[in-house]
Amino acid sequence: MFIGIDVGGTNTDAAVVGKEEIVSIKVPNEKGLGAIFRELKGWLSDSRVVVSTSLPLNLLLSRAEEHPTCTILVPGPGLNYQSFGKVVRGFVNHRGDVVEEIDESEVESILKNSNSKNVAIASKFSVRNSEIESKIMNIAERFFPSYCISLSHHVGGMIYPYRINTTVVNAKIRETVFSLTDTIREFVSEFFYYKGDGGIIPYQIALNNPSELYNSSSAAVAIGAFFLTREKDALVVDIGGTTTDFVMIEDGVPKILDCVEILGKKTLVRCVDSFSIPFGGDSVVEDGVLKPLRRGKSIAFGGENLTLTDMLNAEGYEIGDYESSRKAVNASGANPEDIIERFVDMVSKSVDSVDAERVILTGYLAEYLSETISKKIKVNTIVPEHSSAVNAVGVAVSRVSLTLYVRFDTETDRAIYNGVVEKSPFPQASLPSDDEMVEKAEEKLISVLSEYGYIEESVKLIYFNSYTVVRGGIKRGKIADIIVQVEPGVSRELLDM
Amino acid sequence: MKTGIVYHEKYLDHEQSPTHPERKERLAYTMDQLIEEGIFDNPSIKLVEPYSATIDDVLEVHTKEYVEFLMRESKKGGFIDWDTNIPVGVFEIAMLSAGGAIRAGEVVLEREVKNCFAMIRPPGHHAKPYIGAGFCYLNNMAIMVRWLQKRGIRRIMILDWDAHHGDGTQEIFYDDDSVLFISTHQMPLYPGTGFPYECGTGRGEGYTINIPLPPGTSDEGYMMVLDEIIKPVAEEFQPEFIAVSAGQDNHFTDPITGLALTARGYAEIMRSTVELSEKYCDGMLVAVLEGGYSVESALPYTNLGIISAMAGLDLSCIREPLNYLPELKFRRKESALIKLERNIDEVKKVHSRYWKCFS
Repeated sequence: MFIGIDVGGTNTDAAVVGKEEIVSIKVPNEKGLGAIFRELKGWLSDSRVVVSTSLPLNLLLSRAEEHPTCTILVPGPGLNYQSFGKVVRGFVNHRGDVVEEIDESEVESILKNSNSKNVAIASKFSVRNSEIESKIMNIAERFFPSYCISLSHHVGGMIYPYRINTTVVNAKIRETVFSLTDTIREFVSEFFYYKGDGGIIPYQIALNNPSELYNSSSAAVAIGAFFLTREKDALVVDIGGTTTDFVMIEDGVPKILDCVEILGKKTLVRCVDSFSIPFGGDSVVEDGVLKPLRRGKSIAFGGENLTLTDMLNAEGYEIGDYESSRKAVNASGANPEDIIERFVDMVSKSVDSVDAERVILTGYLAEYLSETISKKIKVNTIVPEHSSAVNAVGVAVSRVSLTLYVRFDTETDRAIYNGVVEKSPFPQASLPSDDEMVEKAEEKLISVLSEYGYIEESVKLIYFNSYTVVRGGIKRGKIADIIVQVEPGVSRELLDM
Repeated sequence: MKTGIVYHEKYLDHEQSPTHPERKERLAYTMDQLIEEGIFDNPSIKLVEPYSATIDDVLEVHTKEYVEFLMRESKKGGFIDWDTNIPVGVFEIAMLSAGGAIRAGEVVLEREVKNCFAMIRPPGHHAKPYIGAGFCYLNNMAIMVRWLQKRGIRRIMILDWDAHHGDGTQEIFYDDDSVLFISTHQMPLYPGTGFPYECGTGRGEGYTINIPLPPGTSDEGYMMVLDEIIKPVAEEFQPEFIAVSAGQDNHFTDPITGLALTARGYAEIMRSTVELSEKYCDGMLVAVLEGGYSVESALPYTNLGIISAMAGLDLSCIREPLNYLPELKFRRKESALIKLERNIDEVKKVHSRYWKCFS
């Protein structure tokens, strides 16, 4: 079975997806993660468990100033990075050679005198050789617990300034993700985290680059909507409690944004390209007007605030305690028809702003609003089964997705995988063909995945560039830069269902 | 306004042979450095897509016979000289290189960017109207200059600081008073031309200025040339546009030359040139990549220095890694400065007939 758990703003949704059926569960967040795992107990032992939890991280980032970071940078020659953090001596060049050593006492004195709560360490070209970062990490561990220290080579990609920014985000959220992982592991020893680009990764990998979990809910909704409808090109409109989110699916996968801005700075984080309007089922109605605010639960669910959900009940639907809703709406004098229409207008304007042939409506109000919305937007509208648990279904059915940045350098006899230097799989000074080099990169990615007990045969080549190294007119070796990826999407074994 | 960089992946495709000094590897390390520094994502930089030059653009500079020869030989592979063979398909890439220079001129002229660096291959400054030479097929610089002149720019100053004399460019504009061609180059060195007495002919007399540099000339030497020759002449010529043949084989690690310029030196020369462009040309400046064969030790840092200077970025950390510095001690020669002073005097003497600043 495939279990997906999505921790949202108000509720935690879970879905158990099997060959025959889908079971969905909803538990309010105040009951804690334990409550949802207790509900899932019967399935846990023989299922793959995936958790999507971008919310705690997003909340943490909204209070980033409470988590000051000591940023240690090793840029060497080039542009000036003093505005990014503390610059120290040392340099890894573009070939991945350590050509200037660090001064340990310089690093030590910065760390010793730091009042920060966490440490980000970023050397230029660390993705070609992480040795300098590891050396600084060893010093930092004397002053900080290791779960408060982040290293930039785990982020993977080039673009040093963005990698620094990503490492700072990682440093700020790493402790939270560690403790979350410990909590989850009390219930299930092995599990996966859900990434913002719609893929899943073993928790061990996420701990080194937790910013990948950023904004994962929108991705889950898109993948879930595709899985339930098999519509390869559509706009997903997810009506949540606080917001209504819009995500495009293109060729079966959500549209991805690169270099996402977090804390006002560009990072190497990739996540789903989505936009929102600040209105949803819990948006309050005050003075007869729908406001972009959530004050708590709807009256229909035992709360004290009149909301969009209560308006739907007043129009004849039976959501939760609909009788209480109707009484309250009558007493308030609000005009439910007008209010619903205003909401539907906003949704339809957003749909019009993108070029969509089909709309998939999801979220717990989808089935009640589908008729009104589809009349208004004049685009073919689908409400899938389990529409209120689409996010959790998406989390459950997504596939393991990993990106591996590979550099083979046969002159120096090195293979570098995401910044970790190993011996090259080719003989030193050999000139392997481009195909052989791609093949070795793919093999490596598959072997990393199989270390976590996961076999995924379909590896995509994202980037390839190679050239011969010549010195003194003699070919000394060959360099290849390769990016291979198991793409995000629905797990292969579930696609045939 | 931003600084443009003209670049295309196809510029990496060209190789005369896998071990030729002007090979794919030349820009590969530079691209690594620029990508890692976030240059293409920097708010003060704009990546500009090149297009191919048209035959008409090329015929403004080269003879019809040569263009047809190059086109024909490029289909099957051919030969120009011992340094310059014609690999299959080079014509298309040479046209994209020339087009890259034109595109750089165009985005500057139309003020889409303040100035622009054409990071193009193959280089061009040895190419003469009737034949290619010294790794060069089409004279990118000259083709761009003619293109600009057809669009109303009258006076253009070319500053060719490649370690080799820009003999092709010199020949093209030798009798032309609308183009001031100034070349600094190591002497003796290929192609063996570029003496101070080569100063133009006819209407172009005085509009070619050659400043030979003794081997071992370092940052100070270049600064001296700037102050003593280039700046005063620019003041008198009042260019409307400045174009730099930005060869990078004057670096102290270059394997086929003997000069001793540093990465910071490059950045500073470019900063001075940018200042000249601001003073006389509303900032209009194009730099075109020419030679440069210290692919690993120099080009990543010198290209970054040039781009940073053009974009007005902080140059204080532009340098090469410390492990290369011992080489600078061998290459840099104090005596070069004394010889250079003599060369400068000779240039001034020759040109005192043409330029008030030297009389």
